[in-house]
Amino acid sequence: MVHLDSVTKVFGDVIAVDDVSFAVEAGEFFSLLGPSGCGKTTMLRMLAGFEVPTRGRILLDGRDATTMPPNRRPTNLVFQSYALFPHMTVEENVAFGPRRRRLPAAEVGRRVTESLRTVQLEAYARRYPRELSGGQQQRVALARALANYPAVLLLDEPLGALDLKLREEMQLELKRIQREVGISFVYVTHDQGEALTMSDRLAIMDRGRIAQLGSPEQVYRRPATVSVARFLGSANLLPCEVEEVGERAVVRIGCGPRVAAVTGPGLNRHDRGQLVLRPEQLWLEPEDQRSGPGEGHPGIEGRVAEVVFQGAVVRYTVETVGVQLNVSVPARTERVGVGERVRVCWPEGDLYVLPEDDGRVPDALGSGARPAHTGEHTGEEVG
Amino acid sequence: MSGTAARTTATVVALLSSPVALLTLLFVGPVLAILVQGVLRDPSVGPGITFDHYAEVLRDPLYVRILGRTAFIATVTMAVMLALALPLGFFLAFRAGRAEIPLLLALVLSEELNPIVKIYAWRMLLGRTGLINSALTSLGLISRPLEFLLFSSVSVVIVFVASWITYTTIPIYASLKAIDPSLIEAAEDLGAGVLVRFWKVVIPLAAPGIFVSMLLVYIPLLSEFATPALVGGTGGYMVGNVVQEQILELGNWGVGSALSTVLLIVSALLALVAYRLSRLRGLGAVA
Repeated sequence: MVHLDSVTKVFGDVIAVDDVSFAVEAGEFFSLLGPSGCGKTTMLRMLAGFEVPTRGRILLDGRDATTMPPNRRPTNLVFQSYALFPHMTVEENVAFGPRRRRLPAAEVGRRVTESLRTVQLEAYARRYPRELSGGQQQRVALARALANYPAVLLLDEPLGALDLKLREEMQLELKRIQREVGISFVYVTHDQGEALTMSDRLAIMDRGRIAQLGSPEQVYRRPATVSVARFLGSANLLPCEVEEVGERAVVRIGCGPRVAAVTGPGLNRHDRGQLVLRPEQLWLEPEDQRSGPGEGHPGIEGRVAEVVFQGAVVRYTVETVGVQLNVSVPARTERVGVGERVRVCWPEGDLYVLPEDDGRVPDALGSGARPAHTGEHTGEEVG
Repeated sequence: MSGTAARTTATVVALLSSPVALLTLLFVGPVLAILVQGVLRDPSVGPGITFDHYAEVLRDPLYVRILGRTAFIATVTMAVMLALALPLGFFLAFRAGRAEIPLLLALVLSEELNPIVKIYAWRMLLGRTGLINSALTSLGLISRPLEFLLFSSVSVVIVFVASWITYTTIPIYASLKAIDPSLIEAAEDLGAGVLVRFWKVVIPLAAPGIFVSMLLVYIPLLSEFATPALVGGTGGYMVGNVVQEQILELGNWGVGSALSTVLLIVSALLALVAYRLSRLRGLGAVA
């Protein structure tokens, strides 16, 4: 449905998008996830036609659309600011696109009704945008785009301006609408929760390149780089030395314990690596108490530096030798106080080891792997 | 507490009373004088009230023709200026980039030139042997100088446009600048070509600015007399010139005042229409 072939966009002396290739399938919910300034919005604007790539090609629906103007493309964009026409009613806003296609009035009316029904706003057809709440305006923006029956719907951080509760409702709502209309969605966001919740697949962008592309579970469980691991779910990274590689690898933490793990691509024996420990994989045990459920589990000793109650979970920061570890445990478990010495434990197996970050992140994706920015580097290769 | 409030109010009234009185005297006074002059019988005929001056102004075909021509020249000028100011304002607001502020300054500074100097400059450009005619002649495009360029309604329109373009462009620029550029992109994304984007999105959203510039420009144009006096000739003679002639040269205060009053009423009506248009459905709330 959407094909990007070595697309590069340069503004002045800034490379906003650097040699990116990927494909979005028909009916797929695809997210571009990354921090601000990573090039994801530029990418979306190239798909919409507002920017022309400096190099590379964009295919839409099998046709070369690299230089096609926005008003000729089979795409529609939902703007971050919604961009609803303030001088038109909801109905007129939604009818704007179909009218440009010179459809008969009856068909325009049918599409308006249908789109407004999809977003559950039929009752608001005659209101002006300023008379609606932020969430309702967001739905109008969606209906206005859907009324054109685009082959691909592009969404630029559409939930960014909504409050948390509404945002969570709209995530499920967007997913429902996408299944209902069955078209491809390309969704740009910096919110990892959003991307993980809604996407069939997602691409994590970093400094103009795709750092990793895969299903939410693949990129979460098997991050391709240290920066992806840090960005998604704020993983703890523990320096280690690789003793055995592969599915049944063994790594050694400092001079401490040996741990069974799975190594990522590009790691050889005796390499330095980073053990990925998710905060929710860890739990705490009193240091002096070696019996109980944690017995036999690998772990590392430290001192509790901070305790933050977050409702469902309690978040601990534990100082260990040289590293701070974030630990997230269910709030119902017994509380440990600041300053207490504890043992941070993790389960055996299902731990993942990445090559050490050499600081040049996009290029440090692992020498053994194919370049990740070609989009072929998916979690399957390493999982 | 209420004592303080009362004292504050009293202070405000005291402070404002003298400027308000002065302004009332200076603005309302002359208007009243004109209204009165317009209905006073000619002193040579005797004292009394009469509507003869109005009858003369509205019946005499010469005055009617000049009134009509004045409206025509002002309307054509306004149309030409809108046709120039809209693209110019659009360019300044959305496309000029770094040149935006220098261009705005140039536009404002051009207004600071002495108007008489500007008008004479235009006479040099538009005359029989002026720059435009000699250029066209030497290029072989015309065999004899274009006569209509100077001392005609055409020259009045040209000089009007050049003198008033700043006042037309600035309010339009300001209202365009307030438009979220993503609205124009949204229209493009939804399939609108450049004309539809302009007509359905830009113009309606800039409407308040367009009406402000019409108020600022159209109404003063109706009573202008310096430009037509200097470049208009007989073909570009406007109501302002008649008023000046009647009052200053012929001492005919009655007819001059009656004409002025007619202009005042027309202007007030136009202002009302412009105000109503700017309040049209949805438009007023945009600003």
